[in-house]
Amino acid sequence: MSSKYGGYMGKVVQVDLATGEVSPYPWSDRERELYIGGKIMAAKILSDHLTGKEKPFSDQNLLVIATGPLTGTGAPSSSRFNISTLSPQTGLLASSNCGGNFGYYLKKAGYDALILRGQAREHTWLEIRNDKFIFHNADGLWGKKASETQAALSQLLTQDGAPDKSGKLCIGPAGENRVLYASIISNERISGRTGMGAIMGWMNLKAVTVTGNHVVRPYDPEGMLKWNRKWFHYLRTHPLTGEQLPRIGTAGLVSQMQMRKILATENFKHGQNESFEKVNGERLAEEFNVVNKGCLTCPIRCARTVALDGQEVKGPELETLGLLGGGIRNDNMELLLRWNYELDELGMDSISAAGTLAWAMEANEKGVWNCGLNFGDVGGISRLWEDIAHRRGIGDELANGSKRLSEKYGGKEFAIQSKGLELSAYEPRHAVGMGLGYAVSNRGGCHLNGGYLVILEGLGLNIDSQTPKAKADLTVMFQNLMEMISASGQCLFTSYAFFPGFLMSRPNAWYTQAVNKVLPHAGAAVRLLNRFPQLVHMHLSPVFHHTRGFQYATGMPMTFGKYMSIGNRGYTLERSVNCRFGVSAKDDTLPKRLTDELERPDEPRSRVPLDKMKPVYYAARGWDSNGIPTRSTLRRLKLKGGG
Amino acid sequence: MVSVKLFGALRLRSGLKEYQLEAKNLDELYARLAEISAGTGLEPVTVKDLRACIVMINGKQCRPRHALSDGDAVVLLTPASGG
Repeated sequence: MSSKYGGYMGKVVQVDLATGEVSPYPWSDRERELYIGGKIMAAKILSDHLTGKEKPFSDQNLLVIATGPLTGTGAPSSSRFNISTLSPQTGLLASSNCGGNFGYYLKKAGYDALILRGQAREHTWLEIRNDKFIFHNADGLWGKKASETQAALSQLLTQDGAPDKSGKLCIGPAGENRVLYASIISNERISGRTGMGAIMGWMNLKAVTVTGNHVVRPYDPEGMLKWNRKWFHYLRTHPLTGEQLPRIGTAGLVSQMQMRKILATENFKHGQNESFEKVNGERLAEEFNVVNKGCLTCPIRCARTVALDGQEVKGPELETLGLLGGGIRNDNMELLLRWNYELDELGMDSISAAGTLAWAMEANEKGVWNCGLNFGDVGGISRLWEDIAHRRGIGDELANGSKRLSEKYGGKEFAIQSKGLELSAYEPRHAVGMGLGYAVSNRGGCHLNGGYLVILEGLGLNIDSQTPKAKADLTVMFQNLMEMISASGQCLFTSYAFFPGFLMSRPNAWYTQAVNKVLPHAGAAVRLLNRFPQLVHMHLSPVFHHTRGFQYATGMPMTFGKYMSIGNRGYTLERSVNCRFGVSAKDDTLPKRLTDELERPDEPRSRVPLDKMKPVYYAARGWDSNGIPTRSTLRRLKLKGGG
Repeated sequence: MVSVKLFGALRLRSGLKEYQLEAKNLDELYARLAEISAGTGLEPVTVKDLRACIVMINGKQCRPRHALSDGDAVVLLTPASGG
């Protein structure tokens, strides 16, 4: 197999861990054109295998690790890779995106994607060296935490004295014990959401390492190099990707969210935390930050390294700061840094762990579940993480997440999740478009897969955050855009530069104010673009470099309209697979706290008017009133038979 | 006397954090902050930089030419994104 397109290695490989069989997976250039790579490619592969009857922990499930065509080409922020599977947390097709270097090394070994299935007979470390697949016994690694596992792997891989040039994936104890929100770790980067680590644990797969000597070749290397220079410059000079994210990271949002009343506090009872200055990004940077870090070829460098017990460890992102800060009424930054590190080491998603803990604290407060956990009572939490990861005591119950706990004990109205996935730290009652995104997201309660409309609702721009007007259409637009960026192998953070720098750096200027006023009235125009993206048969290069970059990398003709159309295809494909598992409008929900309880009793609009936005969203997507993609929509998106 | 706090990238760039200052309007406040920033040892900021900030006064977003009253709490933010 090979490809006429640049950026691709031309091979997809499947490994059956039960039998040890390794075989090529057919993947044509036509499929590359339709499904690109990464998240959308994985959705197509899973769509071809899943009928709606499969269980996550079964031989019928697949774990698809896929790169994008831009991975390894030198394009900015292009070292991402995607993992998709039937999630143990949501029971649906779900995806998780990760930075680091595994995707790059997978391509160096000659593969665009790796498909894993089956349960190995013993604890296994899968080593891939070009076309060699070696199944090692991993008894010696089993039980180890993430950094210890990766250090041991590194030692094993460098016994001949050669430097370690490998990409690594591993799980911690949480994955081994099938905690439903277990993560997969790659260096310090985490594929955190939807419980991918539990699937690896079920497979008895402790780790995958990959190395090789293939070269990723862009279609037009010279054009790509020139374009990348411009692109890097643009990102480095943009107020968000060149100033805010490099300087303060996502942690900088805590203060902004506090001012906008969207900082989840005490299990989303409130949108403001009076102690936010003890656990915000400014304090993190001024008192704890050691150095900024970034993934391969990333000019944004949003990651933080902090000092903890004389060690330099990865610092928390906004979600962890918010949810393990005010979310559980903790204002101790040192503890928060420790927990963030411990959760990464044990291999658990900090968003779902924090959301589940906050639910348990409120359940205890209300007498729904007498578990002994209380808001603000933060002693012993480290021990609790260990108990969850090893499924001991109440940890065994907490390992199942807030949805299942609330189904067992009651308290669904304050289980802050959607489709079984806990929400991140954006309180949506003062950012209702973000609320819609959480509810309809294929992944479950995810801000990014939900379209991240909060960037318009008070963070980057400042449109009316509580009107439902235009929110459905804008959500569709941003979901499609991010879907395609993800599929190409790039970081979603590059999409923030889509907003012209002058709008971001001049929030008080008349033109920025005008955009803020006009956008909620632009629903019909956005709907038109969503429905007929071919109208934008051009590149939007002054602000959007992705389409030309994609073209130089692959040789595949691309316009902004086509780019959006492929994103739409990917999003609808995932939805149609989830519909096979029974998903419909009834599942696109939020807990009653967010839709029925006012965040401010004196502000009647301080709730998410989901009932108003959902029908508009379905219509904008070309889905029926029950949220099922119609035949004509599937046909229009060339998904005939995919639904 | 008004209180003023800065958050976000501009705070880290300039070293300006939190002050109690005499100012009748935002322009006066910005002029005072610009003076202070010259002594932080970090990157000095100008009145123009400060005028580009999002302004919250007593928890509400205000226009950049807003008058100030004694006891007002002013917060200056820079636009942000994340994920």
